[in-house]
Amino acid sequence: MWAGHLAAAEIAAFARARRRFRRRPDADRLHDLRVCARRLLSLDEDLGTLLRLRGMKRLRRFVHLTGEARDASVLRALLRDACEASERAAVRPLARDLRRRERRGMRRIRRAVTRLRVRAS
Amino acid sequence: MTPRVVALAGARDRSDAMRRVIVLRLAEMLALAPALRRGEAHELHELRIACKRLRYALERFTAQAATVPAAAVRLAAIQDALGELHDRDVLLAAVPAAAEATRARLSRARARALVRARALWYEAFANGGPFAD
Repeated sequence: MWAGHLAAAEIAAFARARRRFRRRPDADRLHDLRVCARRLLSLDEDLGTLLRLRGMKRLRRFVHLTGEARDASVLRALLRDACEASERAAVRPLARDLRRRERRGMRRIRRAVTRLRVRAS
Repeated sequence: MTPRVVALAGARDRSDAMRRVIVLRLAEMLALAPALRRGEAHELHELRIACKRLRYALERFTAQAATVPAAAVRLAAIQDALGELHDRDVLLAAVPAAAEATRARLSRARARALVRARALWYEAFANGGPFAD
């Protein structure tokens, strides 16, 4: 009973974050969605013997996908801050690659988020 | 590290289930704690994930015990420091050797993040810390 209530609350939080992201995708909303998704996965890991949550495999893949875009974005910002002016040319290919990965990641996330469904059974 | 399955068969109530989940996730985190001494990238990443698992479990049951919120806050801080360290490890693996000064700067930031993570960890387990008892 209590486990079902916990699951319902976390599924509702995830659904809200998903709606917000779909309405206007940006980095903050993606972060919120990612946190809600991870909390759901953690709930499944912790209470998996009491609860049956559907859609966890797809959700796990989604979290992985969002991680790629997030990493590329964070690493690009870090690189910008850490880079010595005299070494800009040396790191430019890496910066470009990170930018490409970030954009590709966001495109994939927008596609994947429409197919995400999680429910308790 | 794949989290272990929590044995919840026979759990009397929510508090009992909470205790079982938290005890297991705490044990998983403590088993990885030597990573802080060794400073190796992959082990520290695993420790960060274990901290996160325990924190989520604590936050889920936050109304059940008075020390839970403080412990979750401490874990979030340790996790942040380990996260900064991990980002620098990933970037260091990709930055070309020719960018020596950039690499040196990233290495210094990594070392600072490790010092901070260690300090936060010892503080959390020191007398009066949320994990002391």
